[in-house]
Amino acid sequence: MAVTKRAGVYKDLMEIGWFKRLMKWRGLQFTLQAIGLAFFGVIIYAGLFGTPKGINNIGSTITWLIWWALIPVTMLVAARGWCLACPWIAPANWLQRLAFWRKGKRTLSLNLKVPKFMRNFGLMLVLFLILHWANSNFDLAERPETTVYLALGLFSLAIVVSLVFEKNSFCRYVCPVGAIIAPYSLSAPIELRNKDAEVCRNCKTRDCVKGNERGYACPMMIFPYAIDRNTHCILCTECVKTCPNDNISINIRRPFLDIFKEGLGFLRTRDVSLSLSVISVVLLGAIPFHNLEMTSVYGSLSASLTGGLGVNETVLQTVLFLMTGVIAVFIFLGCSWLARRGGGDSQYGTKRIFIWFALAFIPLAISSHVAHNYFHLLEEGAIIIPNLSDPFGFGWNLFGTAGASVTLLSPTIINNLQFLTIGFGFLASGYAMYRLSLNMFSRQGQAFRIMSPMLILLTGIASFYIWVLSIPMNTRF
Amino acid sequence: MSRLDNAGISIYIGFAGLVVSLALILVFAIFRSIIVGV
Repeated sequence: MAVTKRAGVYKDLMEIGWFKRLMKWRGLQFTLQAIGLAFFGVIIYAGLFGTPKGINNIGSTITWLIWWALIPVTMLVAARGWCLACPWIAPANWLQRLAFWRKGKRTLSLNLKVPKFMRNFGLMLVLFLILHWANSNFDLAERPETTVYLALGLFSLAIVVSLVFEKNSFCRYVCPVGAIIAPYSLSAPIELRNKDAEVCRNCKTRDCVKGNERGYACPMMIFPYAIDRNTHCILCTECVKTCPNDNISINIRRPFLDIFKEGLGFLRTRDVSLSLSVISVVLLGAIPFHNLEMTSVYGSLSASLTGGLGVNETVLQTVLFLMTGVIAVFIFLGCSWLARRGGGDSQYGTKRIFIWFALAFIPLAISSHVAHNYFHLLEEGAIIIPNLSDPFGFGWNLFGTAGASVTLLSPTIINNLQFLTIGFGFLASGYAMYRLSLNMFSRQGQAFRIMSPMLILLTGIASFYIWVLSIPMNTRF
Repeated sequence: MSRLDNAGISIYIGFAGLVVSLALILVFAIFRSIIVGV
């Protein structure tokens, strides 16, 4: 019997024969991770044995100009699809499962549960901020060897966490990249959901949660039979393999859907916690700050403050970086309070409004992140073309492009594209905010009143981004 | 599908379309340089 598609779902990709066979193939994740690891091998070799000059070392340029810049793009299109191919967790998974791709029966892990107080995005956010801070402060892009040690450190961390804690606890509670992947994936036009809720309700075995001979239990410790958001789903397709009823679908759906789900059921669940919303708000402060510190305006501000206060540059940068996040949270809190007053309805507290509306700002956070990366990807990123001919700085010329100077797009065009992208982010966030308000209040007037302080804040932040982006950026190298 | 849904889809297509096409510019430039040189 044909299953009626849920509102907002356009196409179940599992209805396509070859796609379904591919998703059910046990070798899928192993193959993608092996490709990722091969790239990683090149980066390690380049970092350890190639030239120490970052600009001429493919390890540095691939990591910081291409991979780091493309990550938000992949989330916008394919949710947490990156996680399916992520090489960081691959050796940890193989060790934990004592198998490469087959379904093993033994485990090397102690399989402990992560302590309750850590079951949120707190540690991920802290590690992401440390990575972000280190990247700005120590010019990681210019140090291929340090990049290798950082990556190996994360590999080791993933292995240790996986050998002590159950399943992919690293991906769910530790991975610093996960801190941005999780909120960004809510906007994606791709989702993994159950096909027919009734079939799952009547299912007695719950193989997606327990695992069976065809696959592992959900490594992210979610319940695929009741999944209703992208936040934690890494699209590893284990549930596709284990489901005895073929009841898992991978849908192309209405974008931004998880941000303004119809009905409040989704938003009332404990899992959309304060920590996820705090990440969105902190990013709203951290991204423009990161952009600002690459400009001459920050250079002169930093020079006058370090001279005036008698502190060194790293201390000043750290304090300003932390302050930006804290200020962003307080401003958002203030606007949430105003929104509560404006809505005139005591059923929604300030904290609840903070959590909901922070999600609506995610599209603006993505657009500002992506817009910032245009500079790395399209201006600095062109360096990858000469680098491919001489990846390690050994003086090779494999494709005849060594030493070439390539310009992909002029800085003026890149700048205008950045403004356009912020414009789209602004529209998308405004749209998500409006739909969210309509879900909270059926009356349009009340919905507008509750969203008006947030709309003013959105306009202010978008204008600030535009101003920051209009200041010429200094190159990293 | 309501007009509100269409508005959301239009914004997304503009947004993602722009971002993805810019990423493709880089990919195209890389392949072009490998095949025909700079």
